[in-house]
Amino acid sequence: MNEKKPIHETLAVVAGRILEDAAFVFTDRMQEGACSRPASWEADGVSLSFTGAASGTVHLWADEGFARYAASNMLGLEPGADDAAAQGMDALKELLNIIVGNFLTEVYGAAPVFNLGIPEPLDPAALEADRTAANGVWLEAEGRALLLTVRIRGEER
Amino acid sequence: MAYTVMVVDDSATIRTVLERSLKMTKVPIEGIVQAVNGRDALAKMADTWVDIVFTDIHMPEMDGMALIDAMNADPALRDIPVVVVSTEGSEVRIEELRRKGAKGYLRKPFTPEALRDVIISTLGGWDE
Repeated sequence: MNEKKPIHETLAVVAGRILEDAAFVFTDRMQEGACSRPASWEADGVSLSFTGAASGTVHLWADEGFARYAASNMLGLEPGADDAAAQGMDALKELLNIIVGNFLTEVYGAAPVFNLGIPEPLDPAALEADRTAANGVWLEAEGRALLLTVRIRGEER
Repeated sequence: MAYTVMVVDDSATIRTVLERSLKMTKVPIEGIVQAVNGRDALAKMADTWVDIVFTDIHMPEMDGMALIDAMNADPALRDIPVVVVSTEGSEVRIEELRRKGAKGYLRKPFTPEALRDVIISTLGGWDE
């Protein structure tokens, strides 16, 4: 009998591919208990909801250094450039948008229509719940951590 | 002939990525006009002629579908080719966009080569 892959495992694979293709950021999975997983962490978060064949929300958290690094790669700037710092949040929003669009196709195929919302900044207070979420996916890039969580209504994979 | 290209996306990052990618395609570009949503695009097209429009679908105020509808309803704009640039992977949605009149579709993330291919298929070749 085929076992369904946990949905957050698919999210991890898609996110790694998109970060590489869209932002030239090469990621590794950060395993549970790994010493590099940050015990305390100041991160910016963005959220994107979707409706359609399934409804849910994906969160992406990253520290300011990662956001600046991704923005500088996408925009062709030096990481220390003022523009890279200013565009960090916008880059995170767009990366989440691309990740979610590709993730939904990966999970549900090319037939269903999904309506994606507009990426929105998350309240920092939401980080604590996401840090301990069972469906969280931790990635590491350039020594910096990223956290993704996915919640799909009615999905118990 | 060099083209004036309009890039419509609420993300400044994606507008810049598209602009950088356009420059990498070696397509002759006369100018690039940026707009933050469909309404902004229509306002700018009232003053500036553009040869092709690249638009996102999901944007606040006026999305890409509404922009295509508005351009179709305007005799001065209905012949300007529109290419949708989106994360959408649904074949049904892409077919809906084609029925509305979109001349091309480019999925994010895209490469400069894919961008070049969609420009060639939309505008035809050019003298290099």
